[in-house]
Amino acid sequence: MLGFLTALEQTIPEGASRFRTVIRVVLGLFIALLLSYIVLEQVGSWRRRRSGRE
Amino acid sequence: MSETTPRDVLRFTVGERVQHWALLVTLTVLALTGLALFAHGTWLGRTLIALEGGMEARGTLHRVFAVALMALAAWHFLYTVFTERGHRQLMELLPRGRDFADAAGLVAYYLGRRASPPEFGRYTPLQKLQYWGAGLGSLLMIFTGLLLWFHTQTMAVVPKWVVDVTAIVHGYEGLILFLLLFGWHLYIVHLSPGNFPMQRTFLTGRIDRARMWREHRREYRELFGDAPPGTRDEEER
Repeated sequence: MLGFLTALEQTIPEGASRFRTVIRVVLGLFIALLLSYIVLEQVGSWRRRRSGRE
Repeated sequence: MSETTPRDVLRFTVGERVQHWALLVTLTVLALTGLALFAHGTWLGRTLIALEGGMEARGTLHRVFAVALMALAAWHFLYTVFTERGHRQLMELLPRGRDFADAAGLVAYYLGRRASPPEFGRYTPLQKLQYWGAGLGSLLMIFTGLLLWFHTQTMAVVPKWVVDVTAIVHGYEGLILFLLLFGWHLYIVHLSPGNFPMQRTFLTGRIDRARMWREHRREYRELFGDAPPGTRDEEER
């Protein structure tokens, strides 16, 4: 098992390495999207609670 | 147990809840055993590998639960294709043009640009996104996982770089799926305003009529008419 893993890591060609960078950017955008949704909903909820008190 | 009572409505049957629990258990074990390999060079990976009984046991565990996930995918496929209720659920989950307008309406509501949220049907656009994200994501994980499991046979027919790329896709797609389900899905279902600390539908299968009116109003209107729950008109029906 570790042998397979090591073989994969040692021989990843440049193309695959660039592909990994692209995937990491996609992952970053995905995380940003999820976090923005949570922030948006929390801010909306806070605004509604505040206007409800006024 | 009856489908509807004056207080609540059966939203998910026992079979649907069992499928959800099976997905929860299989994906949790697959995530933990996969993360151990993905992050094997870090303290987290080393800790997980030790907890899972070493690399060999981790690999065996990952494969056993991968087979369980494949069986679950087959069960879900048969359920949605060959049962009337399952097929109806799938049709309700299909993305439609209105979902984009509803999602935009929801963002406008959060930003304070409209007074009330859009009226959703049985599944909201966010629920559809989670279902298709988890479903298609799991299928991609199964496909890439099989290529890696049988890497010798794979490399007999495709070049080595395909296996390299597959390993990258499998690892990062697993991470995306983990964040989608154990981050976003948990937040939306249990931690978001109005749901904290826990929504019970995944346990009981039932939804309170008042919640249904707030969150699935189009479905509520189809079932019970236009009178809100608890009003005289609704009680007389």
